[in-house]
This record gives sequence, C-alpha cells and structure tokens, in this order.
Amino acid sequence: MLSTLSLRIDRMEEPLLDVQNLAITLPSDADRRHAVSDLNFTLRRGETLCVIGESGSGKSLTGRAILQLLPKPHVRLSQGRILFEGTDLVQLGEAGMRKIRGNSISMIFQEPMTALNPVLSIGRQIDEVLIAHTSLSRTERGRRMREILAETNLVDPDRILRSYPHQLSGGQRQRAMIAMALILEPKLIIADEPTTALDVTTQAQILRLMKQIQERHRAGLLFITHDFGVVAEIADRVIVMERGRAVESGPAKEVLHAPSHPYTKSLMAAVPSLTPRIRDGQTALEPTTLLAVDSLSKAYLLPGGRSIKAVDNVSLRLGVGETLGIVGESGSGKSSLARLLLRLSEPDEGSIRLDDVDLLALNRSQLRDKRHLFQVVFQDPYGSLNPRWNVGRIIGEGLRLRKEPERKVQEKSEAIIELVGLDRRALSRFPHEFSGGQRQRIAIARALIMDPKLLIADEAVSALDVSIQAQILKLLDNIKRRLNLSMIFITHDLRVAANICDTVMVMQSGRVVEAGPVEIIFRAPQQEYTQNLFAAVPGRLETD
Amino acid sequence: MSSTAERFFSNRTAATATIVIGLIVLVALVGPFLYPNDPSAVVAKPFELPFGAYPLGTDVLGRDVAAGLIYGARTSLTVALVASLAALLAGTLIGATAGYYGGLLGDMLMRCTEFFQTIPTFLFAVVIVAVLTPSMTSIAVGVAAVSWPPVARLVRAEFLSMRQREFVHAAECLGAPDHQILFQHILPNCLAPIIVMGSLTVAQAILLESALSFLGLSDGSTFSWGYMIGAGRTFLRSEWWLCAIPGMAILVTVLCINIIGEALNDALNPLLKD
Amino acid sequence: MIRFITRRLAQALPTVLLIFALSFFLLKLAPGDMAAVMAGESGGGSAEYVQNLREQYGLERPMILQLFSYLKNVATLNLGYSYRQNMPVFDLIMSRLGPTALLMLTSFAVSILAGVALGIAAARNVNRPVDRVISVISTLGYATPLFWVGLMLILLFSITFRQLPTSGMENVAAFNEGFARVKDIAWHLVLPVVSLSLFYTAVYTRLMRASLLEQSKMNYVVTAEAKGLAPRKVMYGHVLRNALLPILTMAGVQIGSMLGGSIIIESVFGWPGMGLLAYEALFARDLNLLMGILIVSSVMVILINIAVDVLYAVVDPRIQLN
Repeated sequence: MLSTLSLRIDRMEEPLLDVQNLAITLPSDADRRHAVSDLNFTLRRGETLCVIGESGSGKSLTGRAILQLLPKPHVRLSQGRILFEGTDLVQLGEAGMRKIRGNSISMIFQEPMTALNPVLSIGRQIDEVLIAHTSLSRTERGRRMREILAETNLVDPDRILRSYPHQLSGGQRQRAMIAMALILEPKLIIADEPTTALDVTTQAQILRLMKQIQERHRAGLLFITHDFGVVAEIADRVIVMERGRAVESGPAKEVLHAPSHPYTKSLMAAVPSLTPRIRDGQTALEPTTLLAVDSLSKAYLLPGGRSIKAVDNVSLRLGVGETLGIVGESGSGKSSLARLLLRLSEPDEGSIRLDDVDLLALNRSQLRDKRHLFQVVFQDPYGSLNPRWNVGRIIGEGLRLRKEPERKVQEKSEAIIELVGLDRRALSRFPHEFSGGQRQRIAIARALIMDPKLLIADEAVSALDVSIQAQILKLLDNIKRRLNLSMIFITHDLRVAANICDTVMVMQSGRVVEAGPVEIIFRAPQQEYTQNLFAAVPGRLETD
Repeated sequence: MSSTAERFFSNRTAATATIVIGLIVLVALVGPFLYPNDPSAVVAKPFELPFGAYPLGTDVLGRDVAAGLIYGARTSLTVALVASLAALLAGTLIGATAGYYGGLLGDMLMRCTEFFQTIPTFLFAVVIVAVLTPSMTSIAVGVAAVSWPPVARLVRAEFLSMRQREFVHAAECLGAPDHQILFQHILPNCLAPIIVMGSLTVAQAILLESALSFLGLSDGSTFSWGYMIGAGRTFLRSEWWLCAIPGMAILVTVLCINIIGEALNDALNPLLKD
Repeated sequence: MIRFITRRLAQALPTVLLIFALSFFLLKLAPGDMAAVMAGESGGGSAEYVQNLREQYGLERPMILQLFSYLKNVATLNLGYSYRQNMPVFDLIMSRLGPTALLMLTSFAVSILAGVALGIAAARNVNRPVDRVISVISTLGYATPLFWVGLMLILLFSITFRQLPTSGMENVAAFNEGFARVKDIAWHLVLPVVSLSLFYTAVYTRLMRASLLEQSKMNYVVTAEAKGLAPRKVMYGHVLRNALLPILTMAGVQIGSMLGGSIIIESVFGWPGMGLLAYEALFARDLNLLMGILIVSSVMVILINIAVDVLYAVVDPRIQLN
C-alpha cells in the first residue's frame, strides 16, 4: 500500500514529457542537414510550454515528432529519446503509438479549415476518436460529444455535430477541433499555431478557452507559436528556437523581460509596440489633401441571390506625406476598399479624387495614363512577382509601358533596386532566387520606380516573419519620408498600424467604425468595437 | 529552358519515345519518295505473307501493306496535327477570353463549350464527316470540332486562377493594357499545361481519325491506318496480321506521344513552383 | 432533392433545343435539298414523300421559320421516316435504345470500379512494382484504339480459344428464356464491355492514383492520424471519399465520349444498339436517321449528367442541392 503510494508520488514528480537529444533529419536536397538538433526539454503536468521561433526554426516538426507523425518518408527522427510518462515514444512502434494518439496525447492544428475533413460532419469526425479508443455505446458517445462541445462554449452542440466544416466560422471550427482533441482528456496537448489563422478577437477567446480547459484537466500544453504576444498571454515556460536549435529557455517572465540570447533580443525588438511611436518633425500645419474619397460603396452578389455590402459608404481624406492605416478583421471590407482605391473593381457609388483628378470619370486609356500616380504593394511575396520574368523586366515594366527610353529605364532600375536595399545584380535574376523579404523589396521597387504620389500597401508585411517585417516597415518609413510619399497601409495587425501610421481608420462589415489620429484612436478608442479589438491584442505588456 | 530539356531527356522512356516519334515523322515525310511501291497499286497476288517479297505482305487485292503503312502515317499525322492545332487555337482563344474577362461573355462561352461536350464526341464527328461528305478535310474538321472543348475548359480554369494572382493585379496597376497582361503575363505561366494538353490532343486526334477511317469514312483514295484495319477486318479469321499491323502502328504512335506529353508535364512543372 | 432534379431538368431544356437546332443546321449543311437529304439520298422515298416533307418543313419559307417547324416536329418526337428501315425514326431508335443502354451502363460501371480499384492499388504501392505494372497497363489502355482492341479480343477469345461469341447480343436461334437468356446475354456482353471500358478504365486509374496521392498530402490526413486511426481507416474513411470527387466530375465529362465510343464497339461486335443503327445509317446515307440518333443520344448524355450531379451533391456536402 505504502509502496504504491510512494510510486505514485514518484510518478507525479517525473516530468510528463522529457525530450532528450532530439535530432530530425531533412531530405538530402534541403538547405540544411537537420531540421532540429540537440533539442532537450521537459514538460510537467499542468504546465504550458511555448516553443517560439520564425518559419524554418523546426518548431512544428518538433511537435509532430512527439506523435511520430513526421512527413513521410523524407523527414525522419534520427536521434534522441521522447519519454512520455517514462515510455520512450521513439521505440514504441506504430501500434503502440496509435493507442496514444488522440487518447493520451492529442494535437490541435493551425488551419481548422484544412485540418478538418471537408466531406465529413463534425460529429462523425469527433466520434471517430471515441470509436478508436473506447467501447462506449452510441448514446454514451453522443452525450460525451455534446458535453465537450458545450465545454468549448459552442452554442447548440447538436447543430454543430450535424454541421460540415464549411458551414462553421473559423472560430467555431477551431473550437470543434479543440473539442476533438480534448474529448478523451489527454495528458498532453500539442497545439501548433492554433490561433494564427484566426481574427484577433477570436484568437483572444480561443487562448482563454485553452488555458481554462488545460487548468481544469491539469494537462500539459505544448504550444507552438511565432507570436511573442501569444507567449505573454499563455506561457509558463518558453523555448526559443533558431534554425533547429534551442537558443534560450526558461520561465516565461524571465525570457520576456530579460532575454539573454541576442537572437531572442532581436526577435523581441522586432515586435512592434502597440503604443504609437512619437513622430519627430511633425508639423502642426494641415497638409494639402492628396486623396479624397466620398461615400464609396460596393456590393457583391452572393450565390443564392443575396448581396453583401463589402464597402458601405466609406469616406476618407489623405494628406500629402501622410500615412493612413486601415485596420479591421477578416470580412471588414478593408481589402475590397483597397481594390476600389486601386481601381481594380468598379464601385457602385461614390467618388475618388486623387490630386484633383476624378479617377472614376476617366475612360480606360485615360486611367492607364494616370495609374503611375498610385501604386501598390501586395501581401503575398510569392504571388506578386511574375515567376517567368527577371527582376529587371519586372521593375522596368511600368516605365517601358510609359515608353521611357531604355537607357533611362536601366538607370532608374539600378537606382531604385539599391534604394530598396538590394544589389543591382539582382536585376538579372528571377524571383524564385529570392527570399520572401527580398521579394517584397522588389515589389516595393516596382511601385516606387513609377514616382507615385500614393502607395497602397495591402497587408504588405503580413506574410513575413517578424524580423523581416521590422526591416520592411523601416524601409517603407524611410522611403516615405525621403520622397514625401502618401501611404495607405491596410493591415489586420494593430501593432503594425501603430508603428507606421499617422491616422487610422477602423472598419467592420464594410463600414468605418472610427477614424482619427493614431494617438487618439490607440489611447482612447471611443467605440465599443474598437475597444474590444484593442483589448484582444495578445501580450499587451505594461509598456503598451 | 535548357534545364527543362535536361529534365525531359534524363527520362529514358521519354527520350526513346521522342526518337520513335521522330522516326515515324521521318517515314511520313520522306517515305513516300523513297519507297518504290504505290499503296493503291496491285503489285502481287493477294494475301502474300509478311517477311516475303514484300516486307509486310499484301492485302486482299494484292496491294503492298508496307506502302500503305508509310502513306497511312502521312495521312494520320497530317490530319491529327492540323485538327489539333485548330482545336488548340480555338480552345485557347475561347478559354482565355472566358477566363480573363468572365462576366456574361465568359458565361456564354462556357455554356457553349459545355454544350459541345454533351454531344457524344465520336457520333458528332461521324455526323460532321457524313454531312460534309467524307474526305481528309472533313475528317480534320470533324476531329477538330470535338477536340476543342476540353482545351477551352483547361485554359479557362488556368486563366481564371492566374487572373486572381497578385502579379497580374500589379501589372494592371502599372497601367498594362489587356494584351500585355494576357500574352506577356498570363499566357507564359499557363503554357506548360497547354503544351501537355496539346500532346494529349494530338494523340486523341490520331485515335479519332483512325476510328473514322475504320468505319469507312474516308474518300478511299488516301490510305490511312484506320482504313487498313477496316479493310482487313473481314479476313480477321485467316489473315489477322492485316488488322494487327496497322493497329500496332497506331498504338505505338499514340503511346509515344502520350509518354512525351507526360514527360513534358514533369519537366515543365518545377518551373512553375518557386 | 426532387426540386433540384426538376430545376436541373428545366436548365437542360435550352441545351436540348440547341441540339435540335444544331441538327437542323447540319442537315442544311449537307449538299442538296434538305427534303431530299431527309428522305434519304439514294432515292429512298418517293417524289410524293419528298414534296410532302417540303411542305411539312416549309422549305420555301425563310430559314428561321423552317427552323421553327423543324423544332416543333422534333419536340413532338416526330423525327421523320426512314425508308431504308421502313420505320419511323423515333420508333427505330427506341427499339435500339435498350441494348445500347445495357452496353453503356455496364461499361460505365466496370470502368469506374476497375479504375478506382486499380488507382487505389497503385497509390498504396506508389513507386513499387505493383504501381509500375498498373502504370504500364493504363498507359497502354490509354493509347489503344477501341475498335482494334475489340478485333484483337475477338481474334484471341472467339477465334483462337473459341470461348466467347464474336458478335450479336444473344443467341437468337437458341430461344433462351429466363435465366438462361440473361446468362447468354451476359456472355455476349463480355468482349464489348471489356473493349469499351479499357480506355476509360485507364483514364480513371490515372486520375484516381493522382487524386489519392494529392489528398494524402492534405492536412486533414495528419489530423486523422493524430487521432490514432489505423492507416486503413484513414484511407477508406477520409482520403477515399475526397479522392472520389474528381472521378465523379470526370465521369460526367466522359459520358458523351463513351456513348460515342459505343458506336464503334457496336459496329465491331454487331451489337444491335443505336451505334450499329448509326453505322447502317451511315452506309445508307440516311442522314435524317443519323440526326435522330445524335439527338436521342445527346439527351441521354444530359440525363446521365444530371444523375451524376445528384450523386456528386450526395458525396460532397459543400454542394447544395437547392
């Protein structure tokens, strides 16, 4: 009796998960041998451990390695032990692992839309876990599923069980995914960027939910993320990974407030603050208006005959040299507004005047003549450059279309490519030879060579890692000052907006909720929607 | 582009198929000038066995089978190529317009394409040839008429997805006119699937042409592989090689073109992924 | 469901009218007077009948009015009279519909089932010998002319081994009844179905293999594995259902091509269906009969396509029936 008790105490003190000397080998054609090497960490019951790193740091593969679900056949675990309650998972074999997966260790993925099977109902997908690991009766399983869905705060569990993934919102899908992962009360939950694909308010709710459930069930939570804000919200301890190695680890408070490794420091410095930056040399003078948009509206027809107002009666003013941030969650209409401003789609009503030219009154060829005045940088650095053109041709296209002499095109291309921080040899190379950040620089060069008065950046830094994002933001800010450029910065990321904008416009369901100087909107938002939006931003430190 | 060629020829099967097709084309081009016998001339008694005085024997009328095969290559390849080119051109134009401009015009073009796909392919070709009275030209028209819809659908899907790509929007924002966007930006990025589709279209066209000639839908004066099979069909019980030999010619040709198409697909695709 | 089908049928109506119009223009395109063409070129019908046709279709009136009277005739199932066969065209076609439907639907089912099975076998053994063998077979199937396969199969199984009948749908002289007749027809069905399905089996095999491999890379597969499901369950419970969707789409597209292919198979095997009828019409230059067959078989394709759409909506919940 006494011995079993002491054994139990021993087991309580032993870590839930103990990863020793983990190494993951990449296929031979990869840019490096190992995705992960010499990785050691432990995780106790009831503890949340965040693994943070940029893309390519090996953090996601680490999560999948624990469940022995590395992408077959090229990526493999080449070394190390993964002790789960004292059992080495590496040596366990497929049949043994299957008993553990979904049962005592479960996983939550980033994109609930693709992580769920599109043609099976949510109920059936959750039920599978119960069928695979228990011998419960049909009614008992139904009861358990409704219970767990209620625990994830999903209203009307019966409807959710009958629904297919496409019929739910992103937040509902992720809640269903969490329910699926938690239904057998696993001892360890591995969450791989579970909130990255969600809007910021939904993200806050999901983070709170995960924390609650984890505490209630005293499960260990291994949380993989790229976002320091999320770490600040949820982590007990942190491991910072860089190119497959842990460069720093420790209690979350220590790492966040006093990072010791230079990589951690640079990473944290790159996170933009929520506090609007003090702008130097700002004149009290009202700048002359460059862009005047009045009651712009655009409705789209949905399948089934209904229509949705993507942009609803939006007006705005932008002064010369000013930067306007348009912020909002997905579906707020900010990208539809960008398309209207770029004259890529026709508005139903309203007017757009740029430099006193009525852009809506122009015919197609007149419009083409004026297009150089307003240029764009898009989100996706992989999709925004023609893969079959070399950089010189990409950057020079606009000038060649304007029939500029070839010598001038050359000169200007060389000047502009250096302005955005690339070598002029880049001109003869193709897009696929560049990294995401470099491609974004090329896209900026393509826009700037036209000498625009207005630059519209549509989520231009959203697809980039935080350190690259900081570089691009800095570049845009510099160029803007040097050229006295006006800029419209469309983003879902309030930190980015705080970093670069003079004025901000908050959008929701196609309408402007609130607009004004960035200091005022960020310090004292008036509308409830804006207040909630700001409260939801993860990791608001005391300084924010 | 050189790396595409390297990738293509590093595939042994594809290299072999290319050589075989090259030989067949060569035979079709110069064979009629070099081979002494005319395919429709009676040169010996009927049903001479192959590998005798005549390499592939003689048929029911005593005509040289080898000569028929050589002239047949010319007919089959010409009809297939002409019909495929026409189908590719029409399909690409219709698909590109529908995909890029969309809207009412695009809808109508696609309805039209789907309409032509509901009519049973081969039957439609038969009817066209019958109405226009059988000849090489009418066979080419019939084959082209049923070959363009799949091309149009593919090209439309490609253009539609390219149209949403950010580099196309960027070009539009630079003030690029439609023709520049269509032909300089979108088309080069869709070329790989169109080329692959093209090779499959040629292969299918050869099969269609042979089936039409097999049914006797040719003017009788031009020799083709399908016609030879149709003519030899009655003697399947005793002189089976009269059917087997031209059939093998069709099989080998179509097989090689398909293999080339597939290898092209593999060789061209890595370029599209960055 | 019923509403979906009625709506699809209503949508198909313009297509059907267009097919009628197309056959009208094709008849006009044929050299010679349309009434003479319709009566059968080589003097099938009497001068009186030709004159009668001329009045019936108003051939002296403007083209558009001719089109209308043609449409009206066709829509009331009056497809004209075949002097060669001494029967109204519509009745003639209806009498041949059964055998063609039997051949088509059997081949359709066989090619999809075989294609799916072979595709699964290939994808589960990717780059292993099984996959290679299947790939060679499907590449060959994809390149072989249908009619030639038919001839070679006859040569092999009917002439050399004397195992299977060479032609026809049944042994009429045996006066089989009941099950014996079914067995006899099934026996006659083997070679035509194999010949017709070979090409399409190859199409579905390749598509199924590619589709399975693509679906296996999807995120939901990792989710299923992370639940602790056995590989078989992941394959048959998750991947297969998604992988079947492109097969269904392809089946809808290929149905017209398959019906076309049955003409040539029927004429090779003497199968007494619409295909053989078309072959006979071709030689008699009975263009009007040929048009009738074109119209009826196009309508068949439309109907089968609606059935495929319903099936698709059942398998894929993202497609809404209303």
